[in-house]
Amino acid sequence: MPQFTFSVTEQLIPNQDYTDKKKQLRTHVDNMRADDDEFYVLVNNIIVGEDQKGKIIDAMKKETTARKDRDESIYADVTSKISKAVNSFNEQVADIKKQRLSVTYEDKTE
Amino acid sequence: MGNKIIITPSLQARLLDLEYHNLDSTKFVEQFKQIYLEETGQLLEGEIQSYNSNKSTYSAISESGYNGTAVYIDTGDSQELFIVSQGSQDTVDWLYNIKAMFAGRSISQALATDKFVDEAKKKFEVSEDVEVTGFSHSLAHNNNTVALLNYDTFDQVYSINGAQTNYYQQYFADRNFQLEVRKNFSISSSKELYEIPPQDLHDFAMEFYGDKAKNIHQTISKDDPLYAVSVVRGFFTLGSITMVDTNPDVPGLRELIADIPDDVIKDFQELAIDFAVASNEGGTNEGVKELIGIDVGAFKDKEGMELAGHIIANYDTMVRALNEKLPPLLDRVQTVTANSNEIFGSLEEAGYITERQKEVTIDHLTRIEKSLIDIEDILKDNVNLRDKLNNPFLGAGNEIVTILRLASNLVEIYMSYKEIEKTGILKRLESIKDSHGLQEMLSSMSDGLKSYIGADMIYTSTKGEPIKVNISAALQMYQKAIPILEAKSTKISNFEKAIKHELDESYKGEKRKVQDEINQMESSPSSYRFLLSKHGFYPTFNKEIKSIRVHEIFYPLEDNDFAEQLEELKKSVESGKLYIEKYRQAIEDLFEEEENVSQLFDLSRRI
Repeated sequence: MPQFTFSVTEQLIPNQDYTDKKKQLRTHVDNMRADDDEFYVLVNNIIVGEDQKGKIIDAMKKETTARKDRDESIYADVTSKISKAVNSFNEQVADIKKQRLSVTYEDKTE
Repeated sequence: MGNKIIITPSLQARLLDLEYHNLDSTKFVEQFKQIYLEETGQLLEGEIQSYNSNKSTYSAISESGYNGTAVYIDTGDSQELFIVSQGSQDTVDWLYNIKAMFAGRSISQALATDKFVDEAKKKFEVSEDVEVTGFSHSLAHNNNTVALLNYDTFDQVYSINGAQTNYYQQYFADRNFQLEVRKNFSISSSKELYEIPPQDLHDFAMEFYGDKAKNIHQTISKDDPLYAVSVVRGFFTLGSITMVDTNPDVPGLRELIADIPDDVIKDFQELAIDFAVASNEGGTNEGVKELIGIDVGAFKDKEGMELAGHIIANYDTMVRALNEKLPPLLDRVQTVTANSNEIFGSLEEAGYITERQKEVTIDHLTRIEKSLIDIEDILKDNVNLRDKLNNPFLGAGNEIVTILRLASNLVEIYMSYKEIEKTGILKRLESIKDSHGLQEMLSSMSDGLKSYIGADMIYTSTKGEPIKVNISAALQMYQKAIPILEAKSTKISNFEKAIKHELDESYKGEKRKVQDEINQMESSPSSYRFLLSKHGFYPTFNKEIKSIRVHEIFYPLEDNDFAEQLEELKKSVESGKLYIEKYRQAIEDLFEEEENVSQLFDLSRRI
């Protein structure tokens, strides 16, 4: 009996949304931020009153602001990277779930 | 045993302030060490344990309302037991104040203090020769001195703004004192006690307890309302006293209180005694019943129809009891309202309140007085009518009119209270309360370099413009910032693991699932007949799938490289450590003439 083969692209297993992974990973960032907040609460209590001036005070205030800004920019970068990584993960997993396959069948009537 | 631990007035004040934070044992000891370092420049080394009265198994302690912490310090060379006790915090304490210090009829908190010290000694296995020092604020001073005078609970008592010892209270607590008072003043019953001229009794008590007073040390603000009150009958001030003017803007209230005639105070004292005696016998509800004639406890747990039923069944009794008990109570209140000109005039003169606040308050207190007299008259009319008709129920009409008239007067009183409140007088009088607090006392303990904000120690740099630095916060930062950064490091590692888990391992898992499906398809192709119809190979009944070959392609996962971000996060932790050292250096530069600042930073990490 003759055999025939056809090739198709088939969804092997159903797709799933993995966006929740962003939340999972961002929780870690929030935890790190909480440590930073605790750190800056300690630092910000040291100089009494916002209006105090002086070479040393100004230098420390400047250093603190620069440090906070740098930390914030790292967190912003990490958050954006998480978003990109999870979006890409979603797409790539969806891709591997679709594969090209060749199906060979036998026609019993011929 | 020598007292090797340094006790300064500011250390006392901060220790007492710490007690009000209700910290757990570990935190309390940690904070105590921190305060000790800041105040003395020395590390408190050795074994330090603490035990809070809320952990006590004795119901007599919790029921009395006593709150305190025992701290046992064993430096190796010496051992000491500190008992740090709180002042009035809640209703239980305030009811105790009335019963103990005004009426002189209770010492339950002093007994609880003694019991707690005993419990702490057993817990820490303290030998009898270890010195026990009591630190007290407010009510706790009364507790500690009563415990010292009656049970020798303490070797030393140090107090700030304490509620003084009371000779009426001691009369009922100390049998020897009672016998000597009876002998000296020729009295045969306790009723006569209150008739003895207060000054004579005061002087007698001072002499009687003179020896033990050597172990009592007090710091008192001239502006503390308790200092003002200690001039009235009952109180006697024992021990070495350091007076401090914590609010130089006002003269304090002592002269104002001293001007109140003793018979007025005695009137109030009688009310307090009635309340105390009744509540000692039958609990607080019984005490309130003694004052207003109504058993408020009977209303408890009743609501809706049951409550209404209770009121109707007891209505006649309640109205008659109120009519009998309210007039003497209102008479006392009227003593204040009738003298409001003098009282509020003096407060204005002393700078505590403004002229407008005085005027509005006097005006509305006059209105309140009128409403109180009305209430008295309404009750009297109602009871007279009952007697006349000889019927416990006057009929709905009459009762409703009575209730509406009473309600209207109560609304008037409430409105007047709101008007008084609107002037801001209550807020203004807060300054009096502040003068009783520990923080105002701490503020007065400032010198050129050192001062306090709240309970934090502040150093002021005099290099150029004065700069205030919170040394307590700086040391805390230096001490705690490293553990915080270490915690952040751990969180960075956790994040790194989470990336691997959520992305790399998860991708592998998905790949495995796909591979499993491929294996299944290739090994059992006949199970996938639906592919024929799905892709249009009809009819399908005459076809059989012989094989499936999957041409799988798995690309490696992309965009999962966080190396750069992780590197930045780790760098931030490292630079944090440098930043802390820089900050320390900056503060040391501000106070370069103060040699101990550098030492404080070093020692703070050994706490």
